[in-house]
Amino acid sequence: MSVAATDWRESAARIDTLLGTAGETGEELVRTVADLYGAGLERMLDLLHEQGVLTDAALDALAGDDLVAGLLLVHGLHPHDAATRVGLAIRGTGVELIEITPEGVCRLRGRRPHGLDQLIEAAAPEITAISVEAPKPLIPVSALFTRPVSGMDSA
Amino acid sequence: MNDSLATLRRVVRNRPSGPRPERCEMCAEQIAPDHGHVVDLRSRQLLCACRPCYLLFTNDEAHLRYRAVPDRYAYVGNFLDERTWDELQIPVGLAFLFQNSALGRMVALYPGPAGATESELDLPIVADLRPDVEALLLRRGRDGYLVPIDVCYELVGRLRTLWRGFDGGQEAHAAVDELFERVAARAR
Repeated sequence: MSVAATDWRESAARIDTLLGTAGETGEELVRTVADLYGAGLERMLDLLHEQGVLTDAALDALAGDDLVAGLLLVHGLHPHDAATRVGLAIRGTGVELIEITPEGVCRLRGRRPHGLDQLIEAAAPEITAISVEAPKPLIPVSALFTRPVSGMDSA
Repeated sequence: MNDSLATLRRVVRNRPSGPRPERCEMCAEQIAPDHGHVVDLRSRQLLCACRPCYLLFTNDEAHLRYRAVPDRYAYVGNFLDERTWDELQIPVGLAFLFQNSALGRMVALYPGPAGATESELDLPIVADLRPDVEALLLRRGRDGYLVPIDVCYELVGRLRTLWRGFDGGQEAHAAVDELFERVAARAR
């Protein structure tokens, strides 16, 4: 029997509950099984790629499915890069992405919204740290203290 | 995006550093790299065992499915004569002999690219050899040792990955020499 489309969140939550009592061996078992399935997913993508059917449309469809995208993320196989995923995840939260550094630091600008860390973690688990910089003022403060230079005076 | 897979991500990402510790294949307890082995007499498989599990199966007289592999090494010299080697029809000049208690006879195996191959020759039973768990590891025209049978399986496993061409090639020969040196040191 397969897990019905709507039930997978329950399965995921059940893993959570069971793992809490399973101890180290349980965790190792879950990791080993997950590794096996991850290797299978990777092989599937490779084969589809070799067949030339992994089109942008196909990749977008995979990325657009919560379950598939979530599992691909678990194994670092998500077709979109971290910046794209973060960009989508923070849409409408009032922060904007500056960059993701090579060290995996996600630099954002704006006011830190509630639950930002979880949001980023879910979309881009490879992010190692998040830094939120204050929003840019409309007119830079320094501009208020500099007199406009006119080149014409000395002429 | 929802986050119901956070646990799975954490488990997959947080790997204990270093190589995965080996576990007893009977009780799943963690074991040190130099653990003992037991032979499954039905499948002829070797299982890694923790000390307590190992000790359950050390009695040679007990009729159990598993038997602990002892730690005995001895020099037996050039054990088989040239005629017997010819009759064994072993192409590589390397063989190990053990008594299979299920068949009630001696079995001669030789390593190759596909693992161990059995030679079809009736050999007299070597009385001193503990059935199923000890073997005579022999090099044609050179030397031979009584060894724990896991040593033979280890050699077969290694040669399988190194084997090139008909007789194994240089690397395989080097592996054999290296093993015989180790065995000789233990037999002293």
